Amino acid sequence: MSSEHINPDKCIACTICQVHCPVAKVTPNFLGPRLIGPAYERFRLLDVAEEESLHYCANCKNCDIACPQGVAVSTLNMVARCEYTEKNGGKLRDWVLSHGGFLADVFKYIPTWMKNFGMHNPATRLLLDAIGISKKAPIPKFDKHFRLVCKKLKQPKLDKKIVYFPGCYVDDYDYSIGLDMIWIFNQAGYEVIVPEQFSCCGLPLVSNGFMKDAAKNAAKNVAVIKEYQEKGIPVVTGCPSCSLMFKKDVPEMFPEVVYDSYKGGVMDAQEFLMGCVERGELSFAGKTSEKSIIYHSPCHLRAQGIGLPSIDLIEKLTSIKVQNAQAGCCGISGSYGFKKEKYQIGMEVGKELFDTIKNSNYDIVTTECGTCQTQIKHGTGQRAYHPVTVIRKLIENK
Amino acid sequence: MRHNDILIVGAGMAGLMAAVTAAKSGASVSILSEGAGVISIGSGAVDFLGYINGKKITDNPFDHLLKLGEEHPYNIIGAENIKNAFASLMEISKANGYEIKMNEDGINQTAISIAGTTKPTYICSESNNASRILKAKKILFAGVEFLKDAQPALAVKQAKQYKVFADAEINSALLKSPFGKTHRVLNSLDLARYVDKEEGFNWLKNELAKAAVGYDAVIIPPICGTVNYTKHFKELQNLGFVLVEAVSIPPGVGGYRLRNALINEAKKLNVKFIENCNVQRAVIENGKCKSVTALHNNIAGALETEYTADKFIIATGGVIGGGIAATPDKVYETIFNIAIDSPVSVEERSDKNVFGSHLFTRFGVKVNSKLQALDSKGSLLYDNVFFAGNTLADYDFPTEKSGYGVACSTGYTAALSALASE
Repeated sequence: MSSEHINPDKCIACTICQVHCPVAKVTPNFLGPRLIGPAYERFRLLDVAEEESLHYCANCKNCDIACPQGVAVSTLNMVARCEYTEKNGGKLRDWVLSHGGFLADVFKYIPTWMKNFGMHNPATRLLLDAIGISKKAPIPKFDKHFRLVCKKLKQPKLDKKIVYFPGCYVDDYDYSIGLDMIWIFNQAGYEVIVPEQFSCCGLPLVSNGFMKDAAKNAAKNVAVIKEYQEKGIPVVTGCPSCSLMFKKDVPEMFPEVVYDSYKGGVMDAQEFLMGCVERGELSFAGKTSEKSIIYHSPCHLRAQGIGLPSIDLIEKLTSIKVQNAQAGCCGISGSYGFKKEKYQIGMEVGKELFDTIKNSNYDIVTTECGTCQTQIKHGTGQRAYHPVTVIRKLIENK
Repeated sequence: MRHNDILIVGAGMAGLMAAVTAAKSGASVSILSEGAGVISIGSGAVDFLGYINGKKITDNPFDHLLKLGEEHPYNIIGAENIKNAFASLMEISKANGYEIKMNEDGINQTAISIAGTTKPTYICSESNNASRILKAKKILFAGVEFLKDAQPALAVKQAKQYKVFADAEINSALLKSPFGKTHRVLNSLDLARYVDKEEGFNWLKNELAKAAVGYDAVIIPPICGTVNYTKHFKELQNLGFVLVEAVSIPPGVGGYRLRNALINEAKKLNVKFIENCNVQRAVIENGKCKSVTALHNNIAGALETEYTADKFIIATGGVIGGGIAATPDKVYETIFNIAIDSPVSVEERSDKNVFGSHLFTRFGVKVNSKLQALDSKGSLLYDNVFFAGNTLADYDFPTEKSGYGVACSTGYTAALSALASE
């Protein structure tokens, strides 16, 4: 597999990425994707200078989605930010926010209440605020560690196997999504394997400037993916940011770790499940309760070029029509909206989505991405659930 | 594999128009797209036909269609389809918060650019219609401090060269910027978004009231809002002078408003968008297209998804948009690999005069009246595939000023043909 060579001259300076950039929309302090990415890349290639507003890029990928010329704008930005961090040292705050997977793994045997007391008591929040994590930010609470829970889970012995990459959000903050995922795959006739060796996908590391750590994770994860792909077992994740990392960023940034049959490595679980529905492997008989559902599409899912499979999946399995909010980015972009100087930007970016949800009075709000769920709760007061959780709740009539 | 009644490739003017037209009849419609489509950065003015062979059309463009030759898309689909398409576009746009209109007598309207040049256009917003100020005696061309895209002093110099403005006194002025100097140089869209807010609207109203004393007409960059444009522009017309928004270089704001309207309509009609993918090829069985295959997030070596449909509408653009590829040895349509006649010498593909009529702009797929592709012998290629927009052959939109006119009317007609076919 050949990685894409990022040629800044593919950019024709049409400004379409500036128009669709959620951050540029709310602040003139950000130069915007076109100028930060391809335009400034020419200066970087000459080692002239770095642009001071590079840190404003949220890595939400709306520039990549908007670009008609196939310029990997966000990758240019992230590589530049990583190089800058390497030269000038990263912030403690960015290290903490991006190494959540690593930290959670270190602390995974500590009881959940103790971790939450440690993280969420007012003194810690003030301390975090002092290093640049906004005290207003909706930092998610720790939950039981998914892969510890999963080990004790008895699954039926099924012929077909599937590998599930849980991602940090499920692992550390909401193990129930992982259990729902295992449930639905069992229903479709797949036994779910959750390998111990998986680490954080590395997207938070890249977004916060820690390329070398991300490269280590990529090598480790891709080795596991390869092992299962060679056995003919597909690898899926329910988190759009993780799958995008494997599909796009890993081959673009770390071409040395991917192999010819890698093919994006990890599939979107909901897309895979839609395949199960179409093959007749997954269906539910009987009526589900009459609920109205509104769906938010995470930017990192839109960037994958697979459409919005969760809408089809919920509609096919529950016979309930799903309203697509189609109201732009939620503003959180992983850890971006937690940062003190970015918090307000995130809230302004998410305003259209918050207003759409608040004004619509739907019974259920759903979105795949864990941090989108967090931000929606923060911006609207209404809890958002993973689509697979929604399906399970409706089917089991909870 | 995903199935739709109608699958559209391309989310520009032709693709969106096809989508909303098809979905309105109850068909299930999905759009595959790479990039957000050029509408969002354009002026939003819909040109129909401004020039033929370099000569400006001053009366009804419909009376000149036959001069374009029978292979021109307008003559392939016919005047009735064009009229209906325009009526439909205006209706959709108005219903979704952005009113665009044509001249009551059916003649071209005049738009003025932020550089002071004029151009004929057919359908545009009231604010973009500069025909309204052609009789004004005292005109102010106003820019905004730090808005580098608009240089009113230069624009005045340019505008004074036109006969229509010969008798008018035209002056320039700069409105005070609401932001002062900013890190990113502001563009018209930044200001239009600011004007959407009440605070921004008050800024614009006050600045205009101050600057416009003694003028009959004021021309400003397109900054009267995006989502709240209609409401705001209406109120600004009560200030005692005729207000015109110039059409701008990208981001042109008017196009952003128009795209929002079309996307909004598509949302109401349940059109599904599959963004950021690149359609690589089609599967043909017994003269019918069975499916097209799209590469995820446009990365070589990534996964692909196969999409089936009963009918396909291809609106992937021309040489610039990527629907047509031109290499030194051949020119071809990129999904179905349809060969397109071109001169052996690459030099003959373009005109020496950069503003002249270039042959490459005419490269495209030859079609019948249903917009189905024909091979070089004139035989039908595929039953259930319809082409629209700049993927079509035999028109030169830059010199004709016919870009969105062809895109809108052929997108509309392609949808009707698809709906009517077996």
